Amino acid sequence: MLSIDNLIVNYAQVEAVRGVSIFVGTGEMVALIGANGAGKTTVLHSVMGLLKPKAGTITLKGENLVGRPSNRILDLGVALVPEGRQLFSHLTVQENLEVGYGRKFRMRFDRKGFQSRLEKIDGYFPRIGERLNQIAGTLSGGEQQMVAIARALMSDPDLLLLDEPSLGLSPLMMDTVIALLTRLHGEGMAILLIEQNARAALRISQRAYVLDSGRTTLDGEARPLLNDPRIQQAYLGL
Amino acid sequence: MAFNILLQQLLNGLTIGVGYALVAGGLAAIFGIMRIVNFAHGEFFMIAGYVLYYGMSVLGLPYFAAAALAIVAVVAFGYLIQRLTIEPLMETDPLNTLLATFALSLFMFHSVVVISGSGGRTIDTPFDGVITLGNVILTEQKLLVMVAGVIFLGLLAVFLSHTPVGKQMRATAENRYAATVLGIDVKRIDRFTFGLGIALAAVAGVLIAPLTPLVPSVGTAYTLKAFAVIVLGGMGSIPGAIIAGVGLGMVEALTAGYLSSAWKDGVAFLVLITVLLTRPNGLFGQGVAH
Ligand SMILES: Nc1ncnc2c1ncn2[C@@H]1O[C@H](COP(=O)(O)OP(=O)(O)O)[C@@H](O)[C@H]1O
Ligand SMILES: [Mg+2]
Repeated sequence: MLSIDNLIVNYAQVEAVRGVSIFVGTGEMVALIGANGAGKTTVLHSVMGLLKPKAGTITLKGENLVGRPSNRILDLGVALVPEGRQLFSHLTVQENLEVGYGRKFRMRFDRKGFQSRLEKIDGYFPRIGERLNQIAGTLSGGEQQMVAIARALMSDPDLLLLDEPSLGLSPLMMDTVIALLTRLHGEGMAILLIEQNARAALRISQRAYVLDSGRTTLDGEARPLLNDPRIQQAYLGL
Repeated sequence: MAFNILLQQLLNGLTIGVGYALVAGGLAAIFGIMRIVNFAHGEFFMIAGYVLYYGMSVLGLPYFAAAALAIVAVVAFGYLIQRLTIEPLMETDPLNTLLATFALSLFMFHSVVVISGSGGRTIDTPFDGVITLGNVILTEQKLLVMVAGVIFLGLLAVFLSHTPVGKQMRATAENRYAATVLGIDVKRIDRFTFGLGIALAAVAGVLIAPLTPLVPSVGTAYTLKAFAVIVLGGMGSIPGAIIAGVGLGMVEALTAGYLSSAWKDGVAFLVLITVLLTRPNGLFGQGVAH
């Protein structure tokens, strides 16, 4: 489904990503782990068209993504839940979801389509219905993360990219997020999950890549990686 | 008797204030969403007045037709400016757009001076009657400013809160990065915002220009007032700009009525400084993000 090949991305002086190759199959859940500054966010931003790679290719279902604007990449079925949630905190929960659903430049809103999409995702987020009219900035951190995921799902993606969704969440809330991702994956969604919490990510993913200073240093099936001494030492604190 | 004077000044203040609210509301939208400082904003107000004047005097159009022509022409011109100069500069140093709009304001001002001279132009609308309510008098044109101004501001509020594009504008103003991630075409939002902001200035121009003889320097004066208003209202806050605009108009009118019209700008800026000393982000500001 998503194929990243030999990606190289520079910021003015910094070589952030130096030849990364990542593959996510249809309906597959893949984890991308690595320390702070390893280049994880840069990879996701390149996929979303927010950064222009220096070299390498990114394709989705065989279509080239490099050079396309973000709105076109969403049209192709990719959505990103950005690091730090990035809700529109002065807007209501419903308005956040509406913006996620109706991203086209239109004067009329497809209210029916929105409602049916909302009903579809309602099952994933049991309490979101009661919160629709609340200002997003007044929700708790965990609730905000749920709205951020819900907002990304409004565009009905086939591939969901998540950038450290468990950051700053209580263990209980984190379990809720993990359960949600497992369920989405179970229903056929492809997921590329960035996590600093390597243990949780490796437990629910099928495969994983380890990123270090802009390079993939390890990759393979997720389960064996959990027991790999190099991972245990560096990322699991064992 | 004293009450009548107060009422009279409040009505005058409301007229001026609605004009400020329109001009500053557009400036606030442009600043809030595009993060650019449009130094030429008041010049669009001024140009609209001149197109109105020539539309009526040279083309012989009736007031409303000439006003519509002026709004359309000014918005088209503004859109062209946005695409040709502002948009290409948006990704560069913010100072560039500031300098570009400053240059644009000089260009617009001097072009009008060359074409029309710096003397005043009088625009005669059909609303030259006077309405008397007890001891309070109101010209029909002032009534039109208030009624039309309030309608346009109301439409703006409904647009921002109820249409998808309005919500996208508010979302982009708050978090441009998240808006881009969600697939909002932020470039298109920018173009639309600039056009809308200019349209509001043009609406104010065609309503207010007939109240006093029109001179080219009115543009710069409105730019300064509009900046004072958006600082007062909280940078980039559109509701803040509208409330602060009406408030500033009132303060000016009351100062002119009770003190002297020579004091009105002085008192207006005194209010601005006082508010900023006590509320540095303005009355409704959340401060600029980042
Ligand atoms: N906007 C930027 N400008 C310059 N350098 C950046 C920028 N964003 C990230 N970097 C650098 O690129 C590297 C990778 O960053 P990032 O992709 O955010 O890592 P991660 O998400 O794994 O923490 C880091 O060294 C970081 O300092
Ligand atoms: Mg990161």
